[in-house]
Amino acid sequence: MTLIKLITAEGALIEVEQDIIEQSGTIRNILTDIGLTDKPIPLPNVSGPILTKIIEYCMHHRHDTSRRRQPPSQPALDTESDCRESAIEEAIAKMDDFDHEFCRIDQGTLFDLLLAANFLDIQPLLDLTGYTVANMMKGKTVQEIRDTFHVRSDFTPEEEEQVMKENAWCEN
Amino acid sequence: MVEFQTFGSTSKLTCRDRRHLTNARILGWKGISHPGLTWHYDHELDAMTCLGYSCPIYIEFNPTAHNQNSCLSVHRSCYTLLAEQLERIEGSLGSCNLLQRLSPHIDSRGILSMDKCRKIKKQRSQMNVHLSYINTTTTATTATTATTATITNAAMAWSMCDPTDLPNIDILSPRSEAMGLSPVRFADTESKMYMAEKHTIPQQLLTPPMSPMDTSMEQFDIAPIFTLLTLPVPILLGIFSYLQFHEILALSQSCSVLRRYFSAESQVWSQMCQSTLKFTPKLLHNRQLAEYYLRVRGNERMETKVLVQRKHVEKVIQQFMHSKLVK
Repeated sequence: MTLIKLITAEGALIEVEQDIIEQSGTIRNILTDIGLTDKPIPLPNVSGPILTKIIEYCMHHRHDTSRRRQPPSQPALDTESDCRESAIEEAIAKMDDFDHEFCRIDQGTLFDLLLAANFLDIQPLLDLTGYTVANMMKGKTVQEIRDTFHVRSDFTPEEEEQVMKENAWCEN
Repeated sequence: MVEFQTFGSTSKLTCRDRRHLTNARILGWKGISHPGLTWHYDHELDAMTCLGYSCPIYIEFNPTAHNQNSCLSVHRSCYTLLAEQLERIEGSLGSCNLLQRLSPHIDSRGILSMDKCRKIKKQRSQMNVHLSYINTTTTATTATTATTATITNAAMAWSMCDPTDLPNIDILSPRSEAMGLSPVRFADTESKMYMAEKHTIPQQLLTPPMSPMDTSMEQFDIAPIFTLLTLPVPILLGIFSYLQFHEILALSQSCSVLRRYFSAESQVWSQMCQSTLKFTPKLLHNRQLAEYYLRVRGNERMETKVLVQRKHVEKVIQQFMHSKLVK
């Protein structure tokens, strides 16, 4: 069991098993480049709580290789299934109860996870968090979207009317 | 001291909120700077007084600037969840309103006091105060992770708590409390969370990062560090690729940034076509791209058709371009 040392944004040292953290494309690439090392890998964009949460996710899916992205050396399949659209549907279908429970967190943490997943290049987690944010938008009115995402309307009533007119083109 | 005005009727805080606030108050009483609550040590009253509460304060919380041992156990989700809980109860509120809602619980001296906040154990002989977890899925994060992903520094153990996950705190009697050292530890991790004598509380713990004492209230309206509008474009595209037409339409009407983002002239449509449909009709105008995307996206039959016939379409376009060049 090889332990990889990671240093979070706050300077906390966290050790995690290699096969768990190698679900991160970023870490995998680093380890490929520099080889196994005792030196801790700094993760300046990821805070301790978020990294802990990510490790929890990776631990749950450690044996689930079907979720992982294919190595770049393998040519992408030139079929319909390699399309992102299909990949998204596949990713959604694979989300289990753990995944849904995992994303029952506050919005700030969710965005942090999203950014960390992007930085660490953990595609299934990126899909999961992105899908969760998108679900928060679904079925909501304009005002509800503003309330949910703390978006301030900077339209005057005239501008609001103008927006409606401008958007009329895509309602046909 | 900041004067709080009471707005609205009686509070409808749940037991969960009360427990959370009680714990927060106690942490503050013990001099632990709290990311969601602003505390001040009042020498006249010989008490920690709560100067205010504002959900966005948490972004100013920097564990490295404080005594880490005393601050790491608290995660900002606590306060966001509390805000959301209050908003669910009392409607949509801004952070200032949240502060106002909490004001009924703050007495004339500025001390946040909740009913039955103290549970005095008369027969306690030791000075130790134990925290016991209420075990939920979220709280289990640290413990679960620690089994395989070893967190080497016990004092740095993190916990992802929400208000229900905050530990139950058994409080010493005021007399014992005044006597001094009160080490607090988590039952499961043995990580010491707090070990400050009352009279040696570091000044930085008594001085929160933001205080209404030296700043205007407007500053409590700080937006979270990352919002929907500040997410990087590739991530936004990934999120929007799950949306259907009417949801995109609602988004585009929410503010001017998203309006520009989804305008007919925006480059985003070609990227949406590319990322979602793996196809960009290169010859089309942005407006036509948008129309194309909105027409295809969400239409299962058309999406399938696009995906399957992508190559054929690209071939047709190439032929068209070629013939145009020949002419």
